Amino acid sequence: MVRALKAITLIGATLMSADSWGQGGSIRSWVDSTEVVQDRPFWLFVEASGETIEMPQITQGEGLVINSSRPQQTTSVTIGGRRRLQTIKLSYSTMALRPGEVIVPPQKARINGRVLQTEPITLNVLPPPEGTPPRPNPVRAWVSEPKVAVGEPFWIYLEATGSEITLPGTLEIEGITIDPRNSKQSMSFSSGRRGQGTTKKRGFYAIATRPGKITVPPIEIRVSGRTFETEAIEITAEESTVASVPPAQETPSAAELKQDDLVFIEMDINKYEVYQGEPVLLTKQLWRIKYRRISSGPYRGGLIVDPTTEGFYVHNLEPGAFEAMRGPWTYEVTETRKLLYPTRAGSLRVGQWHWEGIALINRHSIITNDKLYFELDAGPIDIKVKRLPKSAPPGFTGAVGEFDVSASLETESVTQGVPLKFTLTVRGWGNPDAIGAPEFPELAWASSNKPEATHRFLKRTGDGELQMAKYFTYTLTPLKYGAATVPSFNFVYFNPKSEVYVRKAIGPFELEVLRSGEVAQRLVIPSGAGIIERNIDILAEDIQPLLGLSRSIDVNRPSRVALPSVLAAPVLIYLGLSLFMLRRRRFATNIALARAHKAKTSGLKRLRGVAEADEPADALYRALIGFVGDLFNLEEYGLTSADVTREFENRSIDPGLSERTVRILKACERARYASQELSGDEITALLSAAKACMNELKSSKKKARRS
Amino acid sequence: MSVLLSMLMAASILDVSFDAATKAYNEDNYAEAVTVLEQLVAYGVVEPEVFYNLGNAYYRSGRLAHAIANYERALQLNPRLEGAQENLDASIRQTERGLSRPQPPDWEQSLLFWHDNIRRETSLRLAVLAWCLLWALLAIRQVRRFPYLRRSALALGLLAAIFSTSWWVKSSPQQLAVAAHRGVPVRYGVSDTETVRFELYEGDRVVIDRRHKGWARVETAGGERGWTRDEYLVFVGPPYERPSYQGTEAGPQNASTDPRLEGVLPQKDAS
Repeated sequence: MVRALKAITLIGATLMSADSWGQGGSIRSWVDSTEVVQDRPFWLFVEASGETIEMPQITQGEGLVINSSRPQQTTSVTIGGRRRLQTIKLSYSTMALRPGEVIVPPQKARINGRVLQTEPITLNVLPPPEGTPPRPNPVRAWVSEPKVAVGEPFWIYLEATGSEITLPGTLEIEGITIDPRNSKQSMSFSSGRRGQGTTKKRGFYAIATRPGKITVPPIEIRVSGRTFETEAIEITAEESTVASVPPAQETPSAAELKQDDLVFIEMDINKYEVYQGEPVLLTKQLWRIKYRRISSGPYRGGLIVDPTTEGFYVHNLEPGAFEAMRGPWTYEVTETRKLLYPTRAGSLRVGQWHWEGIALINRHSIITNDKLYFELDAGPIDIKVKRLPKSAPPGFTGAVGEFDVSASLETESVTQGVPLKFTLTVRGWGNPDAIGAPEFPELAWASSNKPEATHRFLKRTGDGELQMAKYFTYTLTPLKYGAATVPSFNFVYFNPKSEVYVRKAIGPFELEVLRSGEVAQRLVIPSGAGIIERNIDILAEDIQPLLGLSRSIDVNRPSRVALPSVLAAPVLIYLGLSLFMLRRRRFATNIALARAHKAKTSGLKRLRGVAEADEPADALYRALIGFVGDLFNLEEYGLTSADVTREFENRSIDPGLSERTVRILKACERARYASQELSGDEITALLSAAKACMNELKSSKKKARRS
Repeated sequence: MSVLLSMLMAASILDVSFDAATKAYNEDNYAEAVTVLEQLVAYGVVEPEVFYNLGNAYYRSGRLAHAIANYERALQLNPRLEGAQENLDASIRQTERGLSRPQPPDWEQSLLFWHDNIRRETSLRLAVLAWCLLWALLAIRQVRRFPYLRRSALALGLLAAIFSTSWWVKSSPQQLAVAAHRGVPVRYGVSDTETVRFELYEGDRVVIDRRHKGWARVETAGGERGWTRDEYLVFVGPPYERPSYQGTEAGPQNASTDPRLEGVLPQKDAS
């Protein structure tokens, strides 16, 4: 029954869905519960379905704030036949501002070309329960330094947390000038089950214009449809530029940590008004709090946009990282610096720096981290670039900065025709690429070429300026001998600090040119002189002497036999040894084989002792029986001629051979048992016959084995 | 017996020739020294000292390419021959570009990185020793089995393979040649009408990877490759060819053969 109901429901839903397609889409809105508490965020859901959907435009209601800036969105697509149905679900963080009945107005969207709207939702808003602490002020203001010096810049920060935040664009404060060209702003947002929160921060670049107490008045900020005021701040402005020591602060607890304290960025320049070509140091800093359980940084897909520097010649400096305190917190600061050299006069802008990142906060949980996403912006910064004064003296080649100039000759004594180097060093701060070679005086006694120019950066001074050195190397080739002089000449640059052109004299330098052929104190060989040197004397560089031979010279005729022989010898030896060992092992394990192998040797040995034996017939008998026993692996003790005959028959030994052997044995038996002693000739004949039988028996067995 | 006698006689005559070349060199008669030493090489003498002295004689004659080729030969035969590397370096410094020697293949550089300063004969001796020890160990294993015998045999087998590879590489080294004069044209193909791809300078060392009808395909240390005529090159060898290019400067081609040696040196065995 239940299954039938479910099926009917499914069919109905399908039909309805098909109907909605046919009618051109649908839109609906709802809340988790129509009973909500004042000032507590809840989620408002809007869902639109159709083939083409234009995002619904949120209509705010009376007594209600719907945060429309960053709704959470899920999209699903269903394809049926040729149609493609799209469903968009948006979740808005919403908050009721007053108790009683509050209506969420109908929300509209354009679906399939038609404007559709949701039904209004009536909410029953309950007042906050008694004992609930009052909601903290969602806005705040603070300054970077409570004690400032007149004329020195500092920052005033405004921050608001909530939804629908409107921060003021600028501030008007008595005793303080706000520079609207330089500001920094950041935004972070978080979302959870109960709603969504956004934190916006804006920093204003401020300069105190008078000494004494200056009050930053309460500043109105509109958050979540309401207007809040920051607390007033008192600043002490002093004439002295000596920085005051801030009072020691106690280590604050994590509870005091604001979202905006976790990560923030700062971008600054060291000058806002410069001359064309005068270097400007741009510093970008990413501040990330150094606090256990919090890690932060960029995330995959996060957008990071470097500031644009159109109109500047840029020199990137080495990035750096350090730790610094800001308020009570310790931060890891990643700093990147660039030297900007304005290439034209007028107003130039360093673009906005945009940084998106994430902070992971571990609130005593092993598995999950709270995530806070940040979208931070700093800048843009405008720089006014002034033209260089028109009264440029002759010899000015474009160097702007502050420089020291030195020059040196490679040697004070040189041979006529041998080139020498004259090096001019320009050291200071300024754009090295804008420093042109000074006009070198014409020399009557030498020819000179265009200088080779190189430069390198040295180090940053305490003023934030980067020291550099540029080297101009002239090659002079003396044409005349005698006393010579490099006359004085000028290097001209514009000093933007004193706003005047500076002329620095170089030289004069004196040297002695020796007549060609005279010995110079020091010879300078130009780089291209190698070929000439070789043409003059190839033997300039001496070589090691000849070698003698301690042995007699012989013609090396490689032997075609020796090496293969040497290589083959160990292999052959090994193979022989292997065969020997194999046989030995076989004899050790196979007694019949071993006896048969030794039979002939031992048999012949025994036969040799027959002639000298006391009873030759007995010795002969034993020798032959022993041989037969060994050859056929028989127990020789008690073996008679009859046994031998039987054994030979069993083994198919040639009958003739068998008969001869047995006759020898019988002859010996007769001699042993019938006291018919054999004469010497008979013994000799029997020995000879026995030897022949042994040989034949051995051969016969070999043949039998082979067959 | 007669063969032995003739060999002994030839050996003593070769020594005399070597001494004569040294004497000619010491008397600043480098052309004669070159001639005599070249005759020794042509006769089949393959001694590093002979090539070294020949290199010196060529160097003093102003024949940089031939000097470099002979120092290379001497170093091939004995990489630790006293003074050869220094003289080769000095000669290379005299060349226009000072190009380095083309490197052997990667596998050789990685596997045989250690054998540069080892003579070919040493590699062979080590290989034979490892080979014999390997079989000796295997034979011992037949009689009695000791612990680690198998691993030791395996290690010896590996050593024998490595040393024999080293010997083989040294016996058939990459074919080096030296450009004999300035502006040797290296072309895209085997014809004088082919476009010149690049030029070699006197003393530039190249690897020969192919020879075809009087042309050689060369590759420089920088990887440039092309064809040039054999006659513009001095081949390092082996085999140790007599240089075909005699140049235009006064040198070996104009030098008279040492009259003391005329008809003294035995004719080279045709076999």
